[in-house]
Amino acid sequence: MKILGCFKVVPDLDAIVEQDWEVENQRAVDTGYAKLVWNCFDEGALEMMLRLSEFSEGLNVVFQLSALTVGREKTEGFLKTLYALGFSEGVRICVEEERELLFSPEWVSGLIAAYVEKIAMQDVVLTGTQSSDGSNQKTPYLLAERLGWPCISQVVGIEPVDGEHLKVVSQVSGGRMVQQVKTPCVLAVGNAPCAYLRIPTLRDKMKLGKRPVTRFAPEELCRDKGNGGLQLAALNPIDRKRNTILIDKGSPEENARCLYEEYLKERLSAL
Amino acid sequence: MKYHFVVNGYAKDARRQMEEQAGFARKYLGGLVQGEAIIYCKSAEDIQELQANHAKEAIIITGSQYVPEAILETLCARADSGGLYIFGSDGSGVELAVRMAARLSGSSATEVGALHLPEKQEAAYEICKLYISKKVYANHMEAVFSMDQGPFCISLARGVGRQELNQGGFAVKEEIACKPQWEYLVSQEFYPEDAEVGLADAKVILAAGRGVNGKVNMAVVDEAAKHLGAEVAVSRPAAMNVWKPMDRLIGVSGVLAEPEICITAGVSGAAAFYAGIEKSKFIAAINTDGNAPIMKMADVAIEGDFLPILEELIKISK
Repeated sequence: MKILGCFKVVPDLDAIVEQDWEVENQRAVDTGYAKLVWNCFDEGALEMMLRLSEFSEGLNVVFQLSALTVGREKTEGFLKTLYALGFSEGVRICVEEERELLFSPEWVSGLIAAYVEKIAMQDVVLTGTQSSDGSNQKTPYLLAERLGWPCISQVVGIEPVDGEHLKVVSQVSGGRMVQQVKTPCVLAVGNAPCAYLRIPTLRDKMKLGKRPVTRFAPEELCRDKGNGGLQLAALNPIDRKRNTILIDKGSPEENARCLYEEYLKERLSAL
Repeated sequence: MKYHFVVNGYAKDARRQMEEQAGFARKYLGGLVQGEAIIYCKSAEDIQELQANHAKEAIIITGSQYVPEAILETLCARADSGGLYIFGSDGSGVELAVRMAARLSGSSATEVGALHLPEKQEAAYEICKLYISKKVYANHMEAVFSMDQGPFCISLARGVGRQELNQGGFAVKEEIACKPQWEYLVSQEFYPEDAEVGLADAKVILAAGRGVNGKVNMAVVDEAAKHLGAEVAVSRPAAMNVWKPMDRLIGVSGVLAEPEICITAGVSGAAAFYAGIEKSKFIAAINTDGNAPIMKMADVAIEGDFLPILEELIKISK
């Protein structure tokens, strides 16, 4: 079974200095200086793929794991980590300008769909439900529509069944849905419990992590950069500051007593 | 332009979603004509049991299982190409809004917090461009987008203002049964959550972040929460380290709470987390870093280690 994990490498938004968030009417925030991290939902999806592959031992099903990202050259280090973890193919669709990707889920899903249809047919495509920067929440659903495949959203677990079927656990209102699905399908991963990607050993990094990444120019795959009728008009800062009172009575115990007596006691008893 | 509410009647929180849709329409859709609501559910009785409505008439789409492909097929077959379709704030609402617009060459937006009609008020039926606002950059910024291809399909942001519903059920205009069999779906079983974590409705929340630094210290947080009558919540880094299960996650991708009192311990105040507590009436922050963002976004703050402070709070509240 061929499984493609699509991931985004995003800037660590907690590292952006406050002033950079405070510019009115801008079209993008300068995040270029922040360190790059796995988009959290995509990281869970990639770890889920590795676990699926481990589960399959003894089932006589071979899971061929590939990974694809659309982004800058800097993202290739992440693909090499995936090589070291056992992924057989790492693909980068080369877009050097991050701003082009921020609010472009139509284009991104078009690029992924073209890769699947023209370059390497897959049985399953996994992505996270959304990225932290653009927060579009569209890519997996648009991808499913482009491919004409069913989609399961808010996935929190997958298990192998046989060469054509998977058991998929997803989070729905009030509980969990367990479905046995026939491939092909798109799986949009939500708050998975296996949220962190494992770390490869140094030996695997040396042995497997040096293979070259397969690169494509976007023009080779999809020329349609349509925005689906949604156009960014403005980006504005959000002021969340409260008039904070700092408690500084000396020792932690005194601070705690002040917090309780002056601010909590009455509020708690009023509940 | 007509607007339609699209309701997930399979969801346990269908009433809350309807209240949010009604609140959104009241605030932003004055002057537009309301069309029938579209409700997808197991059976019409499920939704009529609520004895509440936010539209006079409804089209009910029924199916014994929740299959988005089946619902989309029916939704798209009946869509009005210039209409505004307002989906709920759950995952199903997001998925269906995006896929419906994609199938009908319309435009979609997710987690919409506000909608603005063009300034020069055209006659309601002529409107062919809308502006919506939503939070982006993990809740750091608000973006305004124009939408200019109908149908306009939006899913609401969680926590938009609610409005009380009208009493009584919907007048059912039409009931449509979904196609029952889908080749890709071999089996489907629903398992309700064992215990309901009451974070969304909690009056007092004690939220722990990365600074709590391990499961052992979480025991102190649990103990303090017990004595203060609080529910324990965690930030994403704490949940990812499995100090607490994911259903205790608070923030953009977890619960958005509105407690009377929220105490944070070892939380930096990243915008994605803060979204989960920003509607708190009172916020007290404890953090060793006086420059952490939370220290400006709380009502009171203590710069220091959370452990001796929580231990003292346990003693006092005993």
